[in-house]
Amino acid sequence: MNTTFLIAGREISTRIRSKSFLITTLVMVLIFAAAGLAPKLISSLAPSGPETLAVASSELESAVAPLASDDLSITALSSSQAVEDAVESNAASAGLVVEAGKTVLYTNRDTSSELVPQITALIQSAAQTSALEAAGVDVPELNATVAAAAPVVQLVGTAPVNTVLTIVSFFISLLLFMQLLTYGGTVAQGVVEEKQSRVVEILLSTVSSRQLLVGKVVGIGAVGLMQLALLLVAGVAAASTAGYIAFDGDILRIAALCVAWFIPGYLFYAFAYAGAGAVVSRVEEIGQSTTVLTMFIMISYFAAVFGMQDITAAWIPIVSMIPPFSAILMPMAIAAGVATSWQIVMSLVLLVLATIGMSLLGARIYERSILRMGSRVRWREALSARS
Amino acid sequence: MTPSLHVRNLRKSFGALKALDDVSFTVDAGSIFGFAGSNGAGKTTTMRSILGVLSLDSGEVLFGDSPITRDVRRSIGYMPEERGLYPKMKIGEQLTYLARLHGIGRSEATSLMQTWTERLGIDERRGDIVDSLSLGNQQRVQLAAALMHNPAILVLDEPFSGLDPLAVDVMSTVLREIADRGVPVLFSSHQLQLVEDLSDHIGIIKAGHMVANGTVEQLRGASPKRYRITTPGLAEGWLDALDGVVIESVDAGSIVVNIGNTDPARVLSAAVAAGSVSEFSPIRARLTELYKEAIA
Repeated sequence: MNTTFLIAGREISTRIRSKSFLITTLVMVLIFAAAGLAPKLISSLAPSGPETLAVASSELESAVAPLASDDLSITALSSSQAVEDAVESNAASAGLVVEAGKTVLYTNRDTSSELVPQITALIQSAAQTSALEAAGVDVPELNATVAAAAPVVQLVGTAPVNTVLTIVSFFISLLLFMQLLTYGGTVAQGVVEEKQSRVVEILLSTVSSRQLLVGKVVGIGAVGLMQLALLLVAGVAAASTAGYIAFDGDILRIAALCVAWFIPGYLFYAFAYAGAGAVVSRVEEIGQSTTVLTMFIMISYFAAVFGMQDITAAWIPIVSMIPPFSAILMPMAIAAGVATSWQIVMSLVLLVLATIGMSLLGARIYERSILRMGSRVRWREALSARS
Repeated sequence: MTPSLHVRNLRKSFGALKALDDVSFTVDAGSIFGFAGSNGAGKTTTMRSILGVLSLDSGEVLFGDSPITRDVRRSIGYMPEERGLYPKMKIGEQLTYLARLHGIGRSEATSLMQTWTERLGIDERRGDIVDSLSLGNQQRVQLAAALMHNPAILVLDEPFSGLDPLAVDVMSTVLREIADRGVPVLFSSHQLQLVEDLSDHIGIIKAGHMVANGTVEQLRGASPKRYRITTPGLAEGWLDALDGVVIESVDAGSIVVNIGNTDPARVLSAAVAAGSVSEFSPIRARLTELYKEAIA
């Protein structure tokens, strides 16, 4: 066990100290943080700051007083002409005057789109109230009656899709896709590098092939897991800082789930990639021997992208139960809230079973192939009973 | 007393090819066993099966009286034919790591690394990666890797290939030093002169068979057959009384005879009786000749 940790430790320390890892991680953290902050950054480029509404009389000032807020200040100016000039020179973003018994609202290019209907509604409502009062209507009672007549809104059937969670779920599938592809490939590469440099023969004179394989898979997986956690922290921190997601129990549960789901998914692919790496002798040959595995990961991700078109589609929770697609799809389905409890449990059980099976198979292929240099070892030979 | 390493009746086939066919020999504790043979004769396969890196069809490897265990195998210092180190890992870190895989603690591994890199003259390169070293220096690192954990047995596959004469000297001295500690040392080489100079015991393998196995003296034959008589000349017919003795060559000042089974003392006295003899000495066969004979 100590030996396995020693091997895993070497994998971790040599990988996290490598320049390429540090640079890639930094760039990815920046990208994920930027993705979280992007909408906020874009909107901050548009003109903002408090608007000013200029009015020509104190009467009008008190009429629009309910609109005053942090975003809108109201100034009274001496004359209608002064208001018009202020709006024209952009000293005020809108101006309200009464000319010849008619209320006029001056606007310019900076007038926010909400301001016009707000002022219109306020003035019309004031006119309506005074007209009703003049007709002897009890306005507060009328208002109470109107308010009581509002319909009760009741949702039946499926809840509307939570857009934010759908986007979060897509990012989860993207993250898992990247990590599985990268770190599965890293395992295959690490296996072939040891085989190609022949250091494996020295290692196997000291440690068993199981220890070597498990140490490598665990070490590389730990690096992948740390990086995944870091990216999630960056994305969640950025998006919640920008106010797009609420930093609450839900998002933490989703992030933790993504990290937890990575473990069986990664182990499944890691052992598969290790076996696929062990049958070839040179790094250049990895591509062809791992094609099938890479395709499984790609298909899972394409399914996730396709699922974004209608996250409530019935096929999503079904496919999310089938390993190894479940490694990417189920966390997405859970984050989007479209998987039921039994589907989640079933998916996890099947994935863990598939992972156990794949670890035995991968270790067997690895053991039989790792010392066989030269031409690619045939699958049939790698799996046959005798070495 | 350190146990010896016994290889008993090893057999291994790769498909139709019999790589090892009943290979047996013993590497005595404290002695150096030189393993010679042409390419593909079975040297590497034998060494790999001692290490347990390769599984055997039949036969056994004993350490002392009992079959070699996993723990003993872990304590073998091994230098594979195909050199192997992590190309991008620093030498010091790499050696320390390999020692720790053998179960040695961190601080002891570090001090062993320092000792051996100094001993092998690569202490200046501890912070460099393997790829940046010359082949000779990589070889030294490889030897250090085999020696780092105070091995109970040393198995070196072609340790001298690619070494400059200075490094050959260092390597030879170190091997003798390790053997003097009581460790059985097995090494293979194509360089027969080296095998002859360094080994206490020599084995020659051909097509999976041991064709010769013994001390250098034994291989040369218990009693030499050829003698050189240094003399200005001997009287005609001095050999007439000696049956089976044949003159092989006559040079100015010396005569080479093959005495067959005749007692060398009788040959000497016959020669002395026939003229003045300043030297009568056995001619030792070079390993090269024995080797050619053995694998012919």
